[in-house]
Amino acid sequence: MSTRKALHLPLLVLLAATVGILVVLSACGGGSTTSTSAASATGPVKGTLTLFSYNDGFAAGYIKPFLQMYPDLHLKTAAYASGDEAVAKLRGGFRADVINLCAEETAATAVRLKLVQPIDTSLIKNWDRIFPAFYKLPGVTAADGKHYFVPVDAGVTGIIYNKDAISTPPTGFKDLFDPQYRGKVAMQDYPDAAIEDGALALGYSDPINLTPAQLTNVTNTYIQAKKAGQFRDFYTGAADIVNLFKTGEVVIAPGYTDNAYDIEHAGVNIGFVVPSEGQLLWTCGYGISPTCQNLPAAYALLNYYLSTQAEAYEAKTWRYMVTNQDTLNVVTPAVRKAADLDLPKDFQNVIPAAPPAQGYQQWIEDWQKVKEG
Amino acid sequence: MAAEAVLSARQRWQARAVRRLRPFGFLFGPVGVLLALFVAPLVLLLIMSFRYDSLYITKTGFTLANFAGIFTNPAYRTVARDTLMMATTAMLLQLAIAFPLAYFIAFKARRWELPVLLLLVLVDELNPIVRIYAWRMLLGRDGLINSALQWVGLTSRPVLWLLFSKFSVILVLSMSWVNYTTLPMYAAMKAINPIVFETATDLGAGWFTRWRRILLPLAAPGIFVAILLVYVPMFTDFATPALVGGPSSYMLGNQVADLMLEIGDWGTGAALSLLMLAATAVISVAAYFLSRLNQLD
Amino acid sequence: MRKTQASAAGLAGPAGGSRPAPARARPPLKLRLRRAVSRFGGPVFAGVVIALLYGPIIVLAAFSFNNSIVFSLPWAGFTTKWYSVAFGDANLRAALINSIWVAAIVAPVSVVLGTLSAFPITRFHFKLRGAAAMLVAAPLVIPWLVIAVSGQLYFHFLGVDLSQVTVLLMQIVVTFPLVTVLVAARLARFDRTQEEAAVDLGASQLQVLRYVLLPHLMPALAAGFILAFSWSFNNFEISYFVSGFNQLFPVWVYSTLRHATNLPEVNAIATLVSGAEVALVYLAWLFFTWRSGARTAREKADALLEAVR
Repeated sequence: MSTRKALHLPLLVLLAATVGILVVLSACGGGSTTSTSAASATGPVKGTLTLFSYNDGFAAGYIKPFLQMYPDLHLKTAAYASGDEAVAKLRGGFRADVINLCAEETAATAVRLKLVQPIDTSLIKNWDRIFPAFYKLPGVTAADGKHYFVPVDAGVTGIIYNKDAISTPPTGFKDLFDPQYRGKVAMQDYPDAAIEDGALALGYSDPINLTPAQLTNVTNTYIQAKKAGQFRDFYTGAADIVNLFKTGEVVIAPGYTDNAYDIEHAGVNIGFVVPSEGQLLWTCGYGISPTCQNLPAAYALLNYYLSTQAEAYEAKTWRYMVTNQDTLNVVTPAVRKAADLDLPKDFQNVIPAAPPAQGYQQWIEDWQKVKEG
Repeated sequence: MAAEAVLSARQRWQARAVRRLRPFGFLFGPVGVLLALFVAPLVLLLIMSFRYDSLYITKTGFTLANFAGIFTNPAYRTVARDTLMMATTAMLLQLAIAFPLAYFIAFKARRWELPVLLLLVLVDELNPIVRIYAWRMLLGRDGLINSALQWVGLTSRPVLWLLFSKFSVILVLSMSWVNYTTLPMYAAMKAINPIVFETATDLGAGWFTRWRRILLPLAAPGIFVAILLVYVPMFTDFATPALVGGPSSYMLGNQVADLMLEIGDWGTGAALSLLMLAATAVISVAAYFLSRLNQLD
Repeated sequence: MRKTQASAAGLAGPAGGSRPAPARARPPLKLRLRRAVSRFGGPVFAGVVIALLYGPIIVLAAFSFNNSIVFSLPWAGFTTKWYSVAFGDANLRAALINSIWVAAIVAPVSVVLGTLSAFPITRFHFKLRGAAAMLVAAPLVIPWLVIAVSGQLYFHFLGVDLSQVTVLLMQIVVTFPLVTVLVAARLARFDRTQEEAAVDLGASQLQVLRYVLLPHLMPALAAGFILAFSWSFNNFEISYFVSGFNQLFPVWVYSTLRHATNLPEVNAIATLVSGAEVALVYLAWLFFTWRSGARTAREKADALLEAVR
């Protein structure tokens, strides 16, 4: 049997069968499901609820009161290390009921891709008690006027440094590129955070809406620093940075207040400095997926996160800023000062971090270049 | 067979039809599953690689931009080069280990042959992620090897390049696959009659000549089968570099995983997967034909 | 014959050449060294390789009892607390259970599909036979990464949510060809005359299948089942791309290593799972060896090698 001839027939049959199957399947399925849950949002809180968030969203001490309030509810959790990962997974078909979203990362994208459904704010008890400035953030109020996630906490990106290794405290992002710390610096492995940090280090006043020339400048600065061996690692997530500080591989890095808490807990004597170049404010909260079948539980969880009890825990433990104004009266003055809870009253000196509205793809590609260049 | 002549024409036709369709009856399930879950997704992959599909690009439609992006971006070239280097080095390291080992088991081991063989096969039962993780624990800054080195006094500070480096990726890749490399070579060597060696020795051949002119050519098919089996999975691996590799040992597998599950650029991810498929197909075909070469003798 | 050779050529080995029998005087150091290497070199080398293969996991097991978070000496005391932590972790339990029942479905389905496809390919002669064989063998050759990525895109295209079912389906696709190879190898070695004898004696097709073929195929089917189960349980690449909220065990280990700092717990559960896997397969192998004599053990090893073909 000559192989040439024998190959034609089977190949054709194969191709025909495949095309046939694809046609049939595309007729049935096609596109992502956006099933509108006919479930009502009021009712007893029981059953199962799935939560997809950063690790802190279900930290044991934080979530315990909620679990005790609703003993009939089974809460299942899954963590993600970055907003990009969350969105990519959700888009790919990963399903969860309540989703942790952050305004500076991917809230806008999640809304655009319909990964969250509009929230009925009448069911959110403390909605009117949120600092007004937060309402304007992308995703909290979207272009269509609807609200897609409830902001719960916020914070400023700071410079974490090892007090035992560095005697004069750093002042800002500029110090991350200082040659005296060569080989002991870690940067965040997220395109938006990294580039905004770099932009502020270079002194740009608006680190978000960068011109192409400014973006290239930031990228080149990173590449040169990386080639000179400035960075020990690009870290993703709390576990990475805690380990890096604990083992002494890194003595200075940008990070958040909960990172600082974790590192301190690991036994390292660290300090947290608010950068002089600008305060990049992150804001995170929770939204509900359109596929959620257990709306009463979802709203219960959202209400819990926004309650003064939960927010007070965040302020005390991780020095997060909170969005519910009433929390300021519940905490001690020491906590109120340490977590800088009065800051969200006025966003004047604050840069709400967010990826640029246009051109984020270029940021992603440039950051890839830095990582592998 | 004589019974058939007594059957009517119609019954004969029926019997023939049944005989002709019988294979398809058997194959209906398996082939159906393969077509629906294997071929169709691959065709989709092919189609997607030619479409814009990224979270942050608003363009849609068919394009060659995904492939163009891969070829023009120097970052991809670096990663591809590193991947090639690491996979090939790991392969050579494994061949260097597996060849003597296979020789030992095939010819020298005698009563140890079965136990050692069994041990090699059983290693596969262990979870690969767990094995990679075990190495990470050994190689770490606070790990066993570093603390042993310091305790013995060979180094005063932890050796940093043991982990999160190209070295660790190559080492762990080799350790993860060396049993798979040994088995085909063992099989090929088993087929050699040991009397050939004895005859050569009688004729005055030294060990190097025996090795070069008898063992190597006869075992060659086994070597190529080993390469065929192991090189492709190593080349496309992403768990190993993700767990024990660092910023300098990023591999193509990581790149694809990032594109699909972090960056969300599915068009480029599909294109890169396709390119990797093409590259590994070339290697596989080459290895396959090389392994058949000896059969002409 | 071996004894003659040995006495004539001295110690024959990988490094030993043909030398005349040594004189009564003590041989020079160089020769003693060479002999030692050729006698012990092989076993030592094999021992080192086996140690490298199993060592890390054994060390892991040892440290799972260490009362310390850090994975280094000095030993901080014996404890089983990490095991209690592991069992107390609901996510881990769920991941283990998921992996087990997914594997429990994938294994029999793979055996069935594998056997079904092995029959026509080895026995019947039909025009599309070569193509069918290539199709069934393809998942073994195509990199799993590519299959996984295509699977993720495919389920998104179909609008199917990712879940254990999607993982299950993709695992079946890559696992059953392995069974096909095993069964085909076994079938090919079957002596058709037994079958023909049975037919001559009046057995129906079904009876031939049940009483003649199946017993012969049993080792291949059993090996296929065990291998399919462990391939499914250990599968990472495919599960990583197409699994949903309910994780599988290897994905759980990977995520834990990337996100959390609770490593000793992973040590403990990894030790348990590894021990269980190896023990189960070894026991199964022992069982089959005992049932059918040592020769079948060699045959099973050979069958595995055929799969490796």
